[in-house]
Amino acid sequence: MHDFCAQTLRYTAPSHGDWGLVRIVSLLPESHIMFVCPAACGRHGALGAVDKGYKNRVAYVYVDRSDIIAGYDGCIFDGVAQTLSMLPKRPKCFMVYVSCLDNLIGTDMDAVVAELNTKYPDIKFNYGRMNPISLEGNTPPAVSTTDAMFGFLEPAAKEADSLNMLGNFVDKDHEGELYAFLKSCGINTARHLSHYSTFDAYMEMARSAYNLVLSPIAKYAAANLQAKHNTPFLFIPATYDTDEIAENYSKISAFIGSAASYDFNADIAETERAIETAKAALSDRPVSISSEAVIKPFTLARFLLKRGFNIASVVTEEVAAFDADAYDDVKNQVEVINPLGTDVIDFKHRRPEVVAIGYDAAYITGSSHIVNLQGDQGLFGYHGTQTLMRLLAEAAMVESDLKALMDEYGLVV
Amino acid sequence: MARFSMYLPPFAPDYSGVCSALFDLNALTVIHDACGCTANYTGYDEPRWYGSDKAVYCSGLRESDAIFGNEDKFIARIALAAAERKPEIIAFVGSPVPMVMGTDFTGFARELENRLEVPAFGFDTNGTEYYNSGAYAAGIALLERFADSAVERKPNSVNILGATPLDISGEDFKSLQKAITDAGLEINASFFTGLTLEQVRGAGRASVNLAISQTGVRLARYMERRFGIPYVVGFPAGELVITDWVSAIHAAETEKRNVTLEVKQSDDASILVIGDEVFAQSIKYALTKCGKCADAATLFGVEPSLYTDTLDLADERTILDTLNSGKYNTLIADPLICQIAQENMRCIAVAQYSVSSKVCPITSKKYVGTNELIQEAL
Repeated sequence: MHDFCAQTLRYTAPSHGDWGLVRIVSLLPESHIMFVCPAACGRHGALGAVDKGYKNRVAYVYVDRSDIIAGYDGCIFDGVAQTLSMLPKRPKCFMVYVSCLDNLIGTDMDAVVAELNTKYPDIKFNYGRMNPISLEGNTPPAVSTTDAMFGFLEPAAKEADSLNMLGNFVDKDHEGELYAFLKSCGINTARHLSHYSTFDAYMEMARSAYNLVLSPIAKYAAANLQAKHNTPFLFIPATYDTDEIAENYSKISAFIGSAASYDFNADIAETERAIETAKAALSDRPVSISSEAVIKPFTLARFLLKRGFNIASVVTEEVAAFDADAYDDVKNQVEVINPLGTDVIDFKHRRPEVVAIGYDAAYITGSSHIVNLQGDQGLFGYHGTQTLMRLLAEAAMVESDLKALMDEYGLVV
Repeated sequence: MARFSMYLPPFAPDYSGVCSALFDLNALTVIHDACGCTANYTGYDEPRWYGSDKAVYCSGLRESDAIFGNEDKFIARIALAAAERKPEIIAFVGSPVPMVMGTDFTGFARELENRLEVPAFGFDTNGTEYYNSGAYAAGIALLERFADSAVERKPNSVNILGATPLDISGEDFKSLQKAITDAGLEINASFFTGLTLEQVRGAGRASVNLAISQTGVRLARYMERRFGIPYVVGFPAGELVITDWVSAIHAAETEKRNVTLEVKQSDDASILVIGDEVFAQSIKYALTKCGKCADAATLFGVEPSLYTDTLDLADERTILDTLNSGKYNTLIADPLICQIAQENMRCIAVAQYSVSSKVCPITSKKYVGTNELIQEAL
C-alpha cells in the first residue's frame, strides 16, 4: 500500500470520515455498546449517535488518570452492571470498547469478556478496540470491529444454497443483476447484516456456505470465519469497469463451483447506454473521484478515461494493493490529491466546474456538482455502473449543498 | 474516579479548548494523536472549521511511536509544515496516548523553538479534563510569553475573557460586543474570538477585564495578579441587567475592585439553569432581577472562591438526580440535557457547543443583551 502522508502531519477535512464504529456496531440487532475510555475519546461517536438517532445503543465509562494508572477492569464490570440496570430491555449481545491508550495499558480484554459471559449467561459479550493508533497494523478499528461482530456467530449446519455479503454497511441494491446471477448459480439466499432485526435471526448467517467480502475491512473477519466455521470467502470489491465486472462474475461462479446460466447481455447493453448518456451529460467536464466514495478510485479513473471521460483528479491518501495496477496506469494522466495534505487549506485545487464523486472531492475542488456516494454503498456489478452513470449525469446538471449532504450522511472519523 | 454516562455525550475536552483558543491566531497547531482526537475537535468542537484555512493538524501518532517515542520524526513533520505555513506560533497539544507515553510537551516545545526559531508551546492535555482547562492553559501561555507588562492603562477599555465558540455563540458574542460599545467602552482584546498576537501583547492596557465564562474567570485572576486589572464576572443576560453590568464595570475601574454579578440562592427557586458556571449564574441573576428565583448549576466544575451557591453537576447521575429532585418546574439548558428531563418539566433550550455541538436539534434562544431567553422563562 502506498501512503501519501507517511512523512507529514495530517489535515482533517470536514468531508473526511464515514459511519464510525458506534453506527457500524449498531447494525448488530439487539446489541448494546459500552465504551471505556477517557471522556474525549467518546465525543465524536456519541454525537454521531445522537445525530442519527441511536444514542440509546451506547453507554460510556469515562476513565480518569487514576483509573488508567490502577487499571480499569473493575470500571468495566461496574459499567456493564449499571448499563444493564438502566436499559429498558436486556440486550442479546454486548460490545465493550476500549480506546487507543489500552494498547499501552494492556487490559486483558479476553479475560474480562470471559468473566462477563460467565456472569451474564443470557447475553453474549465481545470486545472491540477503537484504536486508530493501530492504523498501520493488520487490525485497525474497522477491521477488528467487523471481526468482533461476526465473532458472535456460532458454527452451524451449512445451507449450500446460501451466502453472506460482508464488509458493506448497506445491502447491495436488489434491483441489480447480482441476485439473479447468484440464483442462477444455485444461491437462493444472500444474507446481509441489515436483514436482521433480532439477534437470534442474525445467527443464521453462520449457516451460509460462502462469504463474499465486498470491502477490505471484512477480510480479516472472513479469514477467521473460514478457520472457525470452515466457510470459504472471496474478496470481490465493487468495480465499475465492465471488463472487471465480467471477470468478477466469473470468479464468483468459480468460487461457488456452479456454472451460471444468467445472461448478462441486457445488463451490458443497458450499461453501455448509461455510459453514453453520462458522457453526453458531462460533455467533457472534468471529474474528480474520492477514495471514500469508491473502494477502487484508480480503477474507476482508468475505466472512465478509457471510455473518453475527462478525469481531473483522484482524491486519496493511499493506494490500496488491489487498486495499484490502475494507479500505475493513470498516475501520469490524472492529478492525485492527498486529502490529508497540509496544503489542502490553501484550496489551490479549487475547480468548481468539476463533477465530484464523493465528499472529499467536492470539498477540495469546491464543486457543488456532487455524486452523493460513500463506500460504494449499494452499488455492484453492471447495475452499479448504470447507477453511478445516472448519478454522474444528474450531478452534472444539478447543484447540491455539500454541507447538507454530509450532515445528512453523518460523517464520523 | 470513573464516571458513567448513559444518555449524554461527553463534553468538549481540554485539547479542543487549547485549539479553540488559538484558532484565530496565525498558529500551527498540532494535536499529538492518531486521528480521532483531531477529528473530535475539527468535526465537533470547532464551528469555524468548514471552509477554514487554519493550520490545525494531526501528528499521525502510531503504536510504534507510542513505544519508541520517535520525537525526531514528529519534529521533522512539524518543521516541514512550519516551512510551508510560516506560522507566528506553534502549539503541540496532548491527547490520551501521550499521557500514557509520558511525552514531555514542554521539552518538546523548547526543542521545536530552538530548531525552528518560532515561539512554540507544549500543552499536556489528555482528554480527561474539560475544554475550559485547555482554553485557560492556552490563554496563560500566550499572556506569559507575549503580553507586555510595561504598557500604559487605557481608561474605559476592556478585555473580553473566555469567549471561545465553545462558550458563546457567534450571535451572542456580537451582542456582547455591541453591549460593550453601546456603554461607551472600547474593546482592547478579545480572548478568544478575533484574537490577534497584537491584542495579546497589549492585553495589559485594559482598565477592566470582563470574564464571561469559567475560562475567563481564571484568566482574569491571572491578569489581576500580573497587571493589577480588576475584573467583572458575568454578562448581561437580558436588557434589564445591562445597567447593572455597566455599573459593575465602572465600579471595577474606578474603585479598583472585582465585581461579580451575583444573587444569593433562594429556597423558592423553581427554575434550574445548567451550563458553564458563569453562564448559569448570569442567567440566574437576570431572572432574579425579573422576579424569578433560580438555581445555577455547572457541568464543568465549580470555580474556587467565586460564587457560593452553584450546584456542581459532576456526572450524569448527579444531573439526573437534580432534574428529578422535584424542586424545579423549569429548566434552562442545552437541548440534550433538556431531553433527559422529566416530561412535565418546562424546558428552554439554549444550545451550548461544548455539549451538543452541531447536532443541536433546535434554534437556540439568544441571551446576551436581549430578553429573548428571559422572557421565555417568566
